Amino acid sequence: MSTTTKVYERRKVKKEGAKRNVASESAHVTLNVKGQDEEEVRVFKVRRKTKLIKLMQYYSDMRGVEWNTFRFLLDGSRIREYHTPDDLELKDGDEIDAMLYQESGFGPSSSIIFRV
Amino acid sequence: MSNHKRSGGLNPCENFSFFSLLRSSRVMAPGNYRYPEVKSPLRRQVHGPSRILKSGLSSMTRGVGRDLSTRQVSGNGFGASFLTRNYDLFKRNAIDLPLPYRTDREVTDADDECKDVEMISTDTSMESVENVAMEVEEKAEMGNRLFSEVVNLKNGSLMVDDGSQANSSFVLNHPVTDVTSYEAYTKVVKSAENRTSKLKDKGFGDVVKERGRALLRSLFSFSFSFWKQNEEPVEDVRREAFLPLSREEETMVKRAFSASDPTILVAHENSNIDITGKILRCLKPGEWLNDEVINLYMVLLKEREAREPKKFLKCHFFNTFFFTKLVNSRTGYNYGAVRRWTSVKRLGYYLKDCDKIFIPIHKNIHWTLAVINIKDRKLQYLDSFKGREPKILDALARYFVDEVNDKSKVDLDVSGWRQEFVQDLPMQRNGYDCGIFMLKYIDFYSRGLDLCFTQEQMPYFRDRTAKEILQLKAE
Repeated sequence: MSTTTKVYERRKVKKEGAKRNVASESAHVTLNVKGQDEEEVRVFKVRRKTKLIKLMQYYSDMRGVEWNTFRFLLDGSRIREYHTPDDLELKDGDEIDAMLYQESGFGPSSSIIFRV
Repeated sequence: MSNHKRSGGLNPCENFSFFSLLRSSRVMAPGNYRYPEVKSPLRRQVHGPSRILKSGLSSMTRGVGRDLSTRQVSGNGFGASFLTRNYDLFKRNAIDLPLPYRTDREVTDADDECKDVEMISTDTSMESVENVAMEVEEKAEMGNRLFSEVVNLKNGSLMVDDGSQANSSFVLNHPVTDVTSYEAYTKVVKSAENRTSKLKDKGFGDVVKERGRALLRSLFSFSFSFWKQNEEPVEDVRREAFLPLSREEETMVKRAFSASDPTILVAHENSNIDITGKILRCLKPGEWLNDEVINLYMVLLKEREAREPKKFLKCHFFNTFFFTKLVNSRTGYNYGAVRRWTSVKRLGYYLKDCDKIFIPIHKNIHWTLAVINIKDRKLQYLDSFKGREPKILDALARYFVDEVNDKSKVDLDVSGWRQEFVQDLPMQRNGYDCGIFMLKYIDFYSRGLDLCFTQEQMPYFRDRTAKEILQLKAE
């Protein structure tokens, strides 16, 4: 169904949600995505059968990075782009962590300063 | 001449110049003292640092060569002479002399004692007694146990719990009574005899040989020769950690390293991690390790343990993102962020039932390892550059308490746990191997081995890790 760009799809999703109040609860799921290096939690409404790559790409675009910059985790387990919310049995309000990739060695791979 | 001078601090007025007092010492000394005519040259050889105490074991040991029968020491006289007498007893047992020769006497002559001293001059059992802080060998331990038994048997009012404590912090607060009772003495003698025979059976008298054997054992620990039957399992486990790659495996690894970037070489279902050519190439010498490889390896280690639970310790391996999530740079410690990572439904077990929990730590540009060692009740931090981060261990202690409370509703007290910044570990000598070092710390610890590898073996370990990832099986 999603042949349009991401923005339109998102709007479409919203419209559908507005029309079918009851049914939308089962067709979509609201997910929170929390980035590793920011406080803000972004909320996304995703269709249950949609592959999560859409979510990942959208989120990465919002952050202004490549889509495979982040590793997406659900309660510690890795989420892949070909997964759908149904595959992972996601419920409303589930939080996905967007973590930066990690490399060791002496080079500027991550600018996260460790402070306890 | 030296024996006249040192009195173990009991008579400070003797510390004047040697020569002026030499002749007149006998005349001028207080009535308590009688200087024995001892000829043994050995007495003054202190084998290790010995503390100067007014009373207690070390002051007594200094005077070990003296004539004990005639010596009366002021102050703690009874205690000290009692100690010296029984020290003799224990020492004689330690050097495996038959005890019956001494049953008729309670106090030895200086001459006889000198002989004893001479006999064991090359023996280091003296050393271990005098140097009370030193790590004891089996022999000294036996001796200590005997000593404590001696003390306990004669106990009226001595406050000694066990031999080792007696050695290190022995202070006589109460006068010793009934020291000279013959019944008590024979009891001691009998128990000593039993011990002596046991010691003899073990071939205990020959310390040098034993030492040599131990040294050779440690030297040969990496070879394939089996020194003792009961050491075979340890040798096997160690060998497995260093098994070389077969030729087929080497070719496989080489081919994988030259695969194109986006080619997916292996895909691990459980962890949802795919290893592409580009990701695997981080295992080539000189390259920095990637979090995908590390996380996949952690999962493989857990699967290895599940395959052979008897062979490996019961461990939990967190992935590299755990600590970043637990302790956020902005918000600080946050247990709620990782609460659901370790649900029983997800794991199948409780964390508190594990032996060790491994947490890889990624600090900007360096990999280190933290271990919650439940088995030994300590928190360990391993850094191939020997850095120290007490805050990390504090956070992990707090996490563990929260976790046990959350899952098992138990209040755990970790205040007695100590924090260990492991110093005795192989260090990296370049700028890119820290990831492999961390993986190997985890590997060896989960086998129950000590960290018996070095920087030189890192290229082998890189190849081996690549092989294990390609085969999706850690060995």
